[in-house]
Amino acid sequence: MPDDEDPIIGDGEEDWFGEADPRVPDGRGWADSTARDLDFLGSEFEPPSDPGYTPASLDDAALRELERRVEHNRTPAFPIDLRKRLPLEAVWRRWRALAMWGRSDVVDDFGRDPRATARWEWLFEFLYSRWFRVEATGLENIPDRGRALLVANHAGTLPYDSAMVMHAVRRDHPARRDVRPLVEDTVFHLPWLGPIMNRIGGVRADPANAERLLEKDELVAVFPEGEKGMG
Amino acid sequence: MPGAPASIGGRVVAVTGACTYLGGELLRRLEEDPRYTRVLALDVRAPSQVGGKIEFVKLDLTQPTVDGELATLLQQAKIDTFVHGAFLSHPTHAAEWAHELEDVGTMHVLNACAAVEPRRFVMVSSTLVYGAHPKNPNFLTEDAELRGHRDSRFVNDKVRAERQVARFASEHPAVEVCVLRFAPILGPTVSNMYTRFFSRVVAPVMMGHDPLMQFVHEQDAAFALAKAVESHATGPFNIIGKGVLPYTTVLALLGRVPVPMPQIVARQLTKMLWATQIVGSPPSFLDFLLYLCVADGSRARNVLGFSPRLSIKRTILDFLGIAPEDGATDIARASV
Repeated sequence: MPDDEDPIIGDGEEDWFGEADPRVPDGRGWADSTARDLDFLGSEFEPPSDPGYTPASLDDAALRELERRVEHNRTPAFPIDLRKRLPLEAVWRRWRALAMWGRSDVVDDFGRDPRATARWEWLFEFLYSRWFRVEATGLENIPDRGRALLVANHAGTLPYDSAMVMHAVRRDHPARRDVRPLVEDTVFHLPWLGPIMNRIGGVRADPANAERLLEKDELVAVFPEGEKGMG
Repeated sequence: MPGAPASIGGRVVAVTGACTYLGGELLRRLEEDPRYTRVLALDVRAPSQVGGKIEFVKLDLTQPTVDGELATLLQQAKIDTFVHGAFLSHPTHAAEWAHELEDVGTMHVLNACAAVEPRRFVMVSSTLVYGAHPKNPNFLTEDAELRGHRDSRFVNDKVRAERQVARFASEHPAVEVCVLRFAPILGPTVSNMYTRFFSRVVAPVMMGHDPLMQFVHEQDAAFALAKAVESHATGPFNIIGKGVLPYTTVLALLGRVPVPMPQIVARQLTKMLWATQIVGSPPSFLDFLLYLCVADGSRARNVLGFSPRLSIKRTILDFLGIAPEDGATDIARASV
């Protein structure tokens, strides 16, 4: 093997939506994509060191047969086949890049999306420092690492206070920790609000979820008042 | 190696549903493994792997007399492991036939196994049996209630089959009963409800809802099944992939066009499309686009020794066939 690194064991972190990624067909050289498709056979198909060897097995007919067999084993999916016939890859790639805007392709176990969180940061900053002019005291009581439970009561009709607690800890605490607030069911299943809360770190209030978060040494915030405090 | 069964001349395995994706992959792995001397492939048609130590026996689990036939067969072959994988991967309009195959067929299989008492019984199930429910915790462990779905016969037949197997396990403590609940399997060669759903250009999105989803790569799933056949672990196991992603992010990665629609419109539309047999996903499937149904794989990791190799993003890219590692689905595993 030329390199020891197994390409499949990657952690899935690398960004492959780059401008000029040679691995992704871009529609320009789509005619010779057949040859590229068979590149992966390279390492297994090293010709033997025998000098009398002629690569007769890799003529056009054999290659076509090999390709036919590879294609035959795939799930016949209409859009994929269509894309192979038409030079639509560039359009499709743009569409996918556009669809991935503002979201990251790796979220944590509970659905917190770092890019989506960053998208809402300006709103929290505005509410925190301009609108409510929050003064956070006692932040030094929150440990820098390890599990901890923040318990508070709600104040106000909408659960702004949990967002403000999250923002205060992320902004002013030396360790910049992420608070995972446990969100009450009715709020969590509200259309649009629920998924947004989930993306920025909210978790549905459930004993199993709380236990799992604490086991992962997260900073969990609970509002035991629940719905009643929301007026 | 703890090769205790090797002293009696190797292991004999019977596999129902040999023509399913997992059944076929299992046959291929058993064929290569010298610890297994004989494999009975039971199905209504011959799988392509027949030959060598794999014997095909035509068996229709929907026939009423199949349990006696199967018991005689198992007795004669002296099987020590029975793998029950004759379950449907797509919902079908032939609901009565599906019920005969999955629920009643499992009863026949268990009747035969009660007479023969094999050493090990492995069943293939799905995490769909937990059902998508607003009260589900983020990670469903194996002891969670099997809610099924109030009007999905596709899911409920599997729930009933699992209940029968659980009763069988309590009545026959001598048999090691192992149930594998697979997360939706995705990959370039497998075909099931999810691969068909994600192959379409457009996909419905319930307005304002975006649950987390979980998939397992087909090679990881096949590896887990082979692992379950060779191990001594008992009880249910969730076989899941690495990581979760929101539904709309899955669609974005796949490049599908999300069509947001209100629930009431989506229900009526899917009902219509299902009744006219234009799409293969029933209206009850919409609940899985509304609420969480994500399982926890720590028991499989600790007891069965299975942990998935591919992340959900890799799984999705491999399903599309656009990953740079195209063709890399033949994952070489050191331990099998």
